[in-house]
Amino acid sequence: MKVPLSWLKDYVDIDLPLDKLARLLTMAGLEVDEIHVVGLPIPLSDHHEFRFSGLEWDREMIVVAQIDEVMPHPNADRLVLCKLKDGKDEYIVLTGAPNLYPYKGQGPLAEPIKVAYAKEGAILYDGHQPGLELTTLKRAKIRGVESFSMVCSEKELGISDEHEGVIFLEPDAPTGMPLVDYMGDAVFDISILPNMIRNACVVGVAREVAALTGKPLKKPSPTRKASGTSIKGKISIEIKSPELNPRFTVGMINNCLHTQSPYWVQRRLRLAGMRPINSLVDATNYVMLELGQPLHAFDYDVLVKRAGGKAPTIITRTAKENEKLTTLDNVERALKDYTVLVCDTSGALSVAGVMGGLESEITESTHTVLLEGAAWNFINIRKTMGYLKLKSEASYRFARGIHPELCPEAVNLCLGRMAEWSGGEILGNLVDEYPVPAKDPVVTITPADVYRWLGISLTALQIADLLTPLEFVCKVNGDSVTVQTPPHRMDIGDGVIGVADLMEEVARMYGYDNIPATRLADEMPPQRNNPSLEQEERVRDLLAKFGLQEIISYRMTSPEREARWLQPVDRPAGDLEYVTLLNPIAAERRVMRRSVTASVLETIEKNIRLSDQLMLFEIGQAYLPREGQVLPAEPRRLSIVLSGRRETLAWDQKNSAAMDFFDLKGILEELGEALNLHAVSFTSNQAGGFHPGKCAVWRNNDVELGVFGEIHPLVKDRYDFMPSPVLVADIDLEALLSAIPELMSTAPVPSFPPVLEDLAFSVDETVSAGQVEALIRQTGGKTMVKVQLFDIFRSEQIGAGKKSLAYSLTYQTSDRTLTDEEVALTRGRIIKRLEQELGAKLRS
Amino acid sequence: MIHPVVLRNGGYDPEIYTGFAFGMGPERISMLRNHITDIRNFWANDVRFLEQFS
Repeated sequence: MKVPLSWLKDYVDIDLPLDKLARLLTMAGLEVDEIHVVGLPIPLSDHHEFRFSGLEWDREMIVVAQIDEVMPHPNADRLVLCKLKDGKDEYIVLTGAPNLYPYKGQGPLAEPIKVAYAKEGAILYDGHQPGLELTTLKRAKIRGVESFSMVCSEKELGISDEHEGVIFLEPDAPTGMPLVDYMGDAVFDISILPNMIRNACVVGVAREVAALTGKPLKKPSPTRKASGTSIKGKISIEIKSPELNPRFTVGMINNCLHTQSPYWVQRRLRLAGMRPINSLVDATNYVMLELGQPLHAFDYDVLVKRAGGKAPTIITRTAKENEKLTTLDNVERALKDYTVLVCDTSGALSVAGVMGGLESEITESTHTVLLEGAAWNFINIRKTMGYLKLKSEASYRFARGIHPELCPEAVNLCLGRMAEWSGGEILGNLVDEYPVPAKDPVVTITPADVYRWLGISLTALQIADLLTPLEFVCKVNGDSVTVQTPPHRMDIGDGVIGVADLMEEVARMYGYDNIPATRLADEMPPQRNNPSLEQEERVRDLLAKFGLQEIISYRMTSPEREARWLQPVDRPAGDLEYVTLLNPIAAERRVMRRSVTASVLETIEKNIRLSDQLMLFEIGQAYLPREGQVLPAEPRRLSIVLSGRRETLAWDQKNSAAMDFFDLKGILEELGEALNLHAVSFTSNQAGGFHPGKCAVWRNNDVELGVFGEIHPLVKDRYDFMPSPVLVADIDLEALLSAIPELMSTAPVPSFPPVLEDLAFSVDETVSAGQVEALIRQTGGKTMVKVQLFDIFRSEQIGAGKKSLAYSLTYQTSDRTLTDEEVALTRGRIIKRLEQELGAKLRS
Repeated sequence: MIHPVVLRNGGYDPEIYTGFAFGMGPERISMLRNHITDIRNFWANDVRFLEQFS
């Protein structure tokens, strides 16, 4: 709900600064999302509690001015020159506003036109740019005439996006007054909670402000009284389902003129987020925003014609089978049998509480208006707007419950505004069918209740004083307060529910902040460790320490999205079974994910152009349906994806290569080491989705921890990736966590010196370094404490299809110094086995 | 404050029991601490946001 401050001030005196008012409302449950200033200054502060936006109007540079004469421009048809006074001086101002053309060449105007005038140096929105671009008004020569100031449109002042013409202020606007003093405003955008729909109107918010500040509420009353004949005999009402339509009230006005609303009305409607249409429709919208009661205006003459010249009968009933209606937005709607329609004897006129029909709407030829104010069952309206997918200001309110007592009040107020803005005569009386009168609950509460629920000690009188400003009628009887719910709210229940509802009101008015803090009377339950979650957290911290970014993705996805990763490259896609949502928020999110890697790959794709190095990981559940079981398996997975440069560019890193298989392997090695896994192995592998020859399995002992490698080129093509390889590790987090030893063990520091030597072998390309290393370790036995590959190279000398692998070996025992002979013996065995089993040749 | 109907539906007599419920996600606390203006940032996985926490 957008509430302009100027409008609010019609009903309650406010002397609080903008941010204080926002805080007051927010703390009382009317959460202010944003304060949009339209001219008023934004309070000075280092850090605002609330979001401010909008344009401040400089007091000196933007003022009310009057145009005394509009003259043609010597060199341009579409421009005019205005003789303008700003209270001090007279100027000639150039403008292209079409709404000034009609005054061109008329000589001095009988009544000056009051306008918003901006001088050189003023900061405004640029009227010619799309959106809101700030600009400073500068001196310029346009078609030979010097221009240094201008007459403003609504867009230039940030009132609306209207830039068709300049604003015409009311004739009584005082020339020379700073514009901000004349009509500076601020719009409070308030999130109205569903049970506070009574506050989705300016009077509702004013009532809260009045109650919170102790000021009186000045409710609006009709500005014009009935002067015509009685409405009796001109219309009758028939309600077929009173439980769905507890009240239907109509009033009439005739001889009105279809015109434009006064400028201040149009401005208020725009600031509140509605579009001005004409003086009659605007009055219905204005009163809805004012009181919260949606209204609907019918062209009475159309209804008479439909009734064959007789007095029309309005009938409210549920829709018939296959009934259709074309609504105001020119869409034909198929209706359901529970939908309530407002009809006459020849058919449906509008969808009750949701949207009017096209045929009986207000047009330029409307002279007589039948004005409807009705009450509807809110659940029924909610269902109707749900299937029609029709959200309107009316249905938004009706779907949350509008009190029937508002109907006559709103109809009378609106008729008065119609007479004021459109002329015409209000007919006497209303026709008011009220078959199901509302029962406003009466609830009794005591200071003991307040103490028990809220922990504060208040007397019965104090409780009554808190509730009375909200229009509850309170009777204090000794130690209890009997509270009558006021006839504008439907959120107070009966019995114990009513007590709870009133406690909330007491707490709101007392101020949640004023309720004292206290210690919990009971002992807190003991906190127990969750080792599995703690280990998971440890993995997260390690990966973050390695420089990776953690992400959290939505677990809801679609099979098509996941297929990019899960669909095999070499055979047709099988149908994967998914956990499917019954009521998804979007088709894109209709199943639970099977793969965390698919989520991370999507994120990489989304960010691929934002960074030249992406290193992401996610820990989370996958959801795998299980045969014959209701609930799926929900294994925790860890997925790591890397792509881009190994090092980000810097003065000493000009040619960083792209990350490859070994960068990812390095991360897993580091992770394994940090988690004290001491029986880790990497074995080459070919798994679905991975690049042949660039994929491996990560194991600890014989337990598979996960698969990793570069993704298959065909899989890569399914995404919008960059040329550098994309590396994926898809890890079973449960397996990884269970591989972590509970305690880490250490070995004594050796007291005898090691023997170090380097050996190089030439082997076939098909032999992996891992195989060579494993054989060296096996043959070396206990004395071989370290084997480190330190060089790989290929050359003509070694021969085609061969490579050289150089290892640095460390021999050591814990009980003596090794002799050269012992080492030579072991070395001999290693060379022999490598030659016999892998065809390796020792290089001298 | 827990609505009496919720208590009743949960098998507690609202004439005897009252309750309070607090929902404080880590996101909301972080939003206040770090001046994050849009809660969707936590789920959008834009590296330009994530990088600020490294």
